[in-house]
Amino acid sequence: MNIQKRNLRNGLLFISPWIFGFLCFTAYPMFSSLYYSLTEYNLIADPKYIGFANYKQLLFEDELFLTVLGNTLYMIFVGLTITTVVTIFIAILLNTKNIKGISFFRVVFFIPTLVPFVVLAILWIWVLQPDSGVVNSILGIVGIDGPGWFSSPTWAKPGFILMSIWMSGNMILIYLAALGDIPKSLYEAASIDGANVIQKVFHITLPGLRPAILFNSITGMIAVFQSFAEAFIITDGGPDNSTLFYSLYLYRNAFQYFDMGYASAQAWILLIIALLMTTAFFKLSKRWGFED
Amino acid sequence: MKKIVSMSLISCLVLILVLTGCSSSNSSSSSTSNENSKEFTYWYPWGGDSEKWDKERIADYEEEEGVKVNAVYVPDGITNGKLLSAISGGNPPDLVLGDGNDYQLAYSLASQGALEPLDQYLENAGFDENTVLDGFRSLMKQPDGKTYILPQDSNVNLLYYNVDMFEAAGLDPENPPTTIEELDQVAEALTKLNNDGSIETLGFIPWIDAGEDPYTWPWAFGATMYDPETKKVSLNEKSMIDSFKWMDSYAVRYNPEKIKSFTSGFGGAFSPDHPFMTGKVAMTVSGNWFANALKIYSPDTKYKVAAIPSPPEGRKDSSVFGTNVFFVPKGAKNPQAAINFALYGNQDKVLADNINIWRSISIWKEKSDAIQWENDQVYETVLKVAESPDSGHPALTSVASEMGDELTSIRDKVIYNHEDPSQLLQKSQDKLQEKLDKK
Repeated sequence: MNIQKRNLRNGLLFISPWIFGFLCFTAYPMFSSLYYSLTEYNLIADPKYIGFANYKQLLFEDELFLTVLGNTLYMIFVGLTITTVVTIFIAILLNTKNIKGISFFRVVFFIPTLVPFVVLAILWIWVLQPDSGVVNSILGIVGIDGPGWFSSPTWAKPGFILMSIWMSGNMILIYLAALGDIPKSLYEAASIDGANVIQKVFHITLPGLRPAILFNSITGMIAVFQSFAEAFIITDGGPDNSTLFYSLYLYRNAFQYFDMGYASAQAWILLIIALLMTTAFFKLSKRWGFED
Repeated sequence: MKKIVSMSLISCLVLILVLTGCSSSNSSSSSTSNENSKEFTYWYPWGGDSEKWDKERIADYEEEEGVKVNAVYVPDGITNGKLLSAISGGNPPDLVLGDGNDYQLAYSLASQGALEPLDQYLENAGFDENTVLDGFRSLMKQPDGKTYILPQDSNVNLLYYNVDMFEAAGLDPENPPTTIEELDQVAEALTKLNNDGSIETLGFIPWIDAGEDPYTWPWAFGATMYDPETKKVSLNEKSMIDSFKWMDSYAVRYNPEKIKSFTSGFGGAFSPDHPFMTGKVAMTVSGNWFANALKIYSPDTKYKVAAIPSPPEGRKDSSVFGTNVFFVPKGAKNPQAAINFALYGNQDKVLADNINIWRSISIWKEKSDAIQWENDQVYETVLKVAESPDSGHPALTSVASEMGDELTSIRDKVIYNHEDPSQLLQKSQDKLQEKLDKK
């Protein structure tokens, strides 16, 4: 056995626990779900092969699927955009060096990410409670009659966006790190040229943050596709299906209607959509001059 | 290159291992069945007081019969797929108790072949089905005539109304509304709006508490929903449309968002914030157990109960049942021991503690002396409703879960957007029928 072969064997042995785990718990379930997506399967009876009928039904016949997709895309395009703008704004504020106790504020913005989803969901039921919740009370002080939030088909999704901003400490942390990487000399040079704060933000800070924005957008998008617990606990998809998100509908098909084939097809469509959107993000970012 | 080759070789080997492992467990279920085993596994759904009570009856049984019960607390065991995974994995429990909202799911599991028929075991244990109240028979049997489900006890829904508010509005608390028309009039009389149009007190909201359950109102209005004989889903019928239009009449009068805002600030049935307890809502439809919640959290609320009002062509003095059910999953290793325990556990005298707290209903025709409710207005009404031939279990079909979600979705479309229920119902009916035909 030559040294190369031995190295290969040892290497494979060392990572074999991972390979085994990956094959058993990731690859096998994934590919079996691909098979199940072509079947009718309720976990009890044997799966029955039906070709692409599940996909056809999902894409062309299931009206609810379009609603669900619409809700999820709303959360990505509207929700993620707002979250990105707000978190960058907060990160810039938290990056100010000459404020005393800035690290305290940084901690404050990060703490919500440590709260478990279930606790968070219950907390936000109270925060966005229409009559006596904190948000509507504050709106009331400035003379605005706050909406019904989770009881309103129009305002339920914005309610979830507010919630996601509150728990986006991770994003803020990444932006903070990226801000630290922007050379100070650029700001100094801009100051000498007479640039004001806004010009500096648009011409130095934002371009400097591009890689972080790209990263946060992609991970954020995947998180939105996967988000389940909040809607499951707070609204259960209501009112009027306005918060029935992709994962929640998938859960219903799989574990409430026991339609594993249909749910598997949904999961594969989700994978394809996520892949397409990630590729699109990368392509666009290249066109706009983002570098990895 | 070599690396890739060996990687794929290992992958294939592992895949084969895993696949063979899975398929063998599927085919070899219940091979170790032992009729005389003195041990079985039991999944129960409750925590809290109910768990304490369940553990007591288990301990008594273990002592009396010398049997070991492996009791496992599995909340939402049926609804979240744990049971199905256990069945398809070849290692199911011997006995499962499904709580009141799950009986439809249990029925649906039976119709899909996931449960063991119980007839032989019931016969061995000396069970006579004629001792069970008629209302529960349809739930126990599938159209093939075999018994799959053994009810433990049941709950009904009632109209709770606030006596003080009735008197303040000049209404007679001894004469609660019995028809939908009367209910609307009384609700109107009990509703108070503030000068700015906001709600101070609402007489009635059709879609809170048990009214939120998609089957409550269609049932009261007389809807068929599903006919097990012909296997036909029938949603688009006059009674069903009427029930939605009636709910919409409340949505038109009071903005449903406002109503929901008005009630969403309040806690669930087991908190002193419930709108009926705080006097924000004068009447509500809720289960028999709500009387105990009122006793604990709002002892000063003066209330009475009545059967749920219904239109003239609807189901009078009726309710949908919320029945707690025992069943044995396919592949259980010791079904006889499970059934023996289930029969022991749902005797009146064992259930009496439970019934004495929650005013739930025994499934047996003959009543135990251990039940203490005498001259209790709530329990009398509970019994009247439970014994009504019009009370029953709606939508006993394998698509009940989907049907419930469809009906909720239609209700939201009707009350938020005032859409035409008939078209929506027809669409759902076709969709569910198609699904059902496939199963």
